[in-house]
Amino acid sequence: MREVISLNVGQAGCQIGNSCWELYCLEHGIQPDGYMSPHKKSTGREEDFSTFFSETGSGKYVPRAVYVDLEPNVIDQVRTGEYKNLFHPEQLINGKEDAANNFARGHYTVGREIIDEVMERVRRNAENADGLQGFLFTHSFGGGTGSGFGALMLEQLSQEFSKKAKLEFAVYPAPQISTSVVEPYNTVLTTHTTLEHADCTFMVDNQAIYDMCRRNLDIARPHYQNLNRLIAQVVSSVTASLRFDGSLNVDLNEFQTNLVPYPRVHFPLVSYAPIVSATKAHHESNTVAEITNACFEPASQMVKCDPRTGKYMASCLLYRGDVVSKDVQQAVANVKAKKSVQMVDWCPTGFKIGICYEPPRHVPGGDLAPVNRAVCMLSNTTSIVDAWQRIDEKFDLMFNKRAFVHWYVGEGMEEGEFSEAREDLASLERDYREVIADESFDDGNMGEY
Amino acid sequence: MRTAYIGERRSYFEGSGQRCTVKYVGTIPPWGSSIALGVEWDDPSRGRNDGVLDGVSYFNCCVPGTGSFIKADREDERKQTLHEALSETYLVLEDETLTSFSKSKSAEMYGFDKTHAIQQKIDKLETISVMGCRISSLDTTYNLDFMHSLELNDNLLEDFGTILKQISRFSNLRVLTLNGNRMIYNNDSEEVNSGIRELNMANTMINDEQVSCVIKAFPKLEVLNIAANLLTRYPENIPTSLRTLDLSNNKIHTVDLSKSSHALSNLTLTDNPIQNFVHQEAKVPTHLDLRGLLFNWSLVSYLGESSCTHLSLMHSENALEYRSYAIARCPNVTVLDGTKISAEERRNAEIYTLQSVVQKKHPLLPQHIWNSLTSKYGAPVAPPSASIRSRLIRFYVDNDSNPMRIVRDAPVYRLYMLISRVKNISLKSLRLKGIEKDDIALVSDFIEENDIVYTI
Repeated sequence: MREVISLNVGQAGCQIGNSCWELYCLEHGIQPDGYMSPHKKSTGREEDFSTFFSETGSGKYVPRAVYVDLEPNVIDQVRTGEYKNLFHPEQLINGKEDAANNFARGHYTVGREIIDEVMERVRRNAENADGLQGFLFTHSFGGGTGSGFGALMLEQLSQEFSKKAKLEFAVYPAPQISTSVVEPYNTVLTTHTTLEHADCTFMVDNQAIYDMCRRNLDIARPHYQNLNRLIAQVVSSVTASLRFDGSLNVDLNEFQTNLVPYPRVHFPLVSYAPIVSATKAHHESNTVAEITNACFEPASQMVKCDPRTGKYMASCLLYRGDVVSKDVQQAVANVKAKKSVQMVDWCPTGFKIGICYEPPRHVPGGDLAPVNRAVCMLSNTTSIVDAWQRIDEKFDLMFNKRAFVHWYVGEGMEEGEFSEAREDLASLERDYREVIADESFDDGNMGEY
Repeated sequence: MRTAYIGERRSYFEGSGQRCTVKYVGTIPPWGSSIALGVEWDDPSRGRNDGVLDGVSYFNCCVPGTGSFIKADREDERKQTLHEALSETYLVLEDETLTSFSKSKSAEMYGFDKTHAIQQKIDKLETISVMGCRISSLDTTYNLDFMHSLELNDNLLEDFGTILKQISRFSNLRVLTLNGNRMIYNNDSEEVNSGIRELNMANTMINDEQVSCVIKAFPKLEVLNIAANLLTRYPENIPTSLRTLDLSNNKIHTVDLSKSSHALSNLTLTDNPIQNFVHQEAKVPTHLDLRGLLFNWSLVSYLGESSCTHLSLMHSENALEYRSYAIARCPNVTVLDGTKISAEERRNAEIYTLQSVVQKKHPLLPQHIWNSLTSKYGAPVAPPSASIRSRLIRFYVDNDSNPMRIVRDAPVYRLYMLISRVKNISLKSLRLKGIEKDDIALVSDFIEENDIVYTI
């Protein structure tokens, strides 16, 4: 019951999907062939497999997932990789011609050719579910398939499954590890197209993840696999309460109710702690107080922005593992004493704090140290507008000179769509500013003068 | 007020608990007859001296600068038994609505009753963490038969021998973490614990003798973390079952891999002042972390062809070429510095390294590596003869008596530029007899040594 279907779109989406399913399998004791590991001990605790896996008659568990890419390479790797038997061949769909980092190709020309097939597969997965909760998208903003085809899928989904929740994990482009110069175009276009259709979008800034790998995990030159494993750990933390017996955000709809005060303002900032390599782990003891504190540090944020400059509209702290209420109270009191955490005046509660007893799982050969507890913070803060501002500026730089626009026009788009999308993003920025327009700021001393 | 004794572990409340070890009990001149305690703080930034006051040494510190003197009548924090700490940690369920978070905001907690229901059955818990709980003794009447992992970081445990005796009651305990405790080790203890598989004793200020005393007690150990301690050499008596060993952040200067256990597959030696790395005839662990080691290419070559597949050498990239060279020298390594080596990267690195070797930017590769690389990609083209002097041609312009020199293989336009500069003729109007300006040919095609070039 309460099933969630994961849709992994484009190269980044599929690769993050791989890391996520690898981790989910480890967490639930499912082997790469889809059968339950014989060594799995019964914990006696509730575990809801059926949200993310469907069980076949033979006792095999199949992920409720669809992989889509417009070109075959990445999906072929899934087909031949370690987890090839986990998926049903029908779940893996690829086209022959890639989107060439072009939103227009993903959204219009090339994407149109396989959208019907993809929607058919999604429909079949949905029919397979007793009480579908909704969809979990992973895709990138910068790539052609991720942005263009992802947006197309979301549009179609919201027509067909208008009542179901649609959550996204989206990779926000970073210049340092970018593959194309038109990433700002794709990002703005896809955000504009999906703004109405996605209910909640968790952004993951490649730059932030890259820096975490370098700074916290001692990887001089992070590879995509390093980045994706880290992202998977975060996604797993966010979805832990859906899959295990959690307490907060146990339902996709609850994410929206807890985090999204206005439909357009649906981009919560995700922070995760501890992010520490095995060789550095001995310096910290990873107490609840330490990881909570770390969560409020910009170094733990998945998107680069400064929450001190904005206000929190809503915030959830999701603990997992061996955590007791006494320590949490102490930790929150510490944060309160130290940090300038400002909430909007109209927000009814401050922080919502949830717990899931299942500890994070260590991926063998992974970069993160094995830990007994972790915390993930989802906060809808107005300071995330920084991320939009950054991308809008880059968009303007190119669009003022109409650079690279012909690639899009050549695929049947009109220049007007660019201006329209940019306009929409500008009004998104305004939305964020309006939220705190009449708010008073205390100067960071938490009501003490 | 309790009287302090030497070796006692205490904790003083200074915002948070500051732990220390009592090293001296007695008077000091500034305080007259009142008793002072000389203590060594766990937090290195907390101390004031080395146990020396006005030139008189009262005690020694393991870590310089961590000592100070405090009044004996200063109230320390109450110590606890494991039993008390467990009750305090796991039996208390705090009110789910916190006190106000900021102004009118509160923080609400959900589901802690659910986890509390699991956690309050202490005798059923598999993972128990009581960190920074001022535990001085492991006494407990709870039956901890299910306990698999026990974390006791940053407590006030004093005697390792006693701990060893006490944990023998926990029949299922496999993972013991004692990071941040400062204990006394007695060599005469014959106690052996064959249950523990993983032992973490980072930052416990133990030295070589103490480590060997610790290792002796755990013959079935598979994972040992003794990072951030005072070790000066590679431990000798490590159990044959040991798979993972973390020795980072010590003072180790000599590593003899032939002393390591055969099963050892994961060795971390980050941040040690290693000068001597003995590896003859030794089985090299598959995962080897040597960051901070004095770097030499012959060692890299040796490791790269050993059984090591995951090698870490550099903290951060200090040279662009380093990674390429290291990849070329390490055909067996698949992950370097935490980053997977793709087939394409390896190919590029190997070709680049071959080029660099013939250009003398990189020391010679071992013969067989050179052979295997050249058979793969062909021998690299040697650069033009090395010395620039031998490549110069001497020539005269018009009737000048002073000769000019130019590199033999420079293109003709360079000759034009040179002459126009020396003769102060604009490049546009300069013409040389018999030599076309736009010619792509080389200087050596037109002039020989001591030739005369005429301008038109």
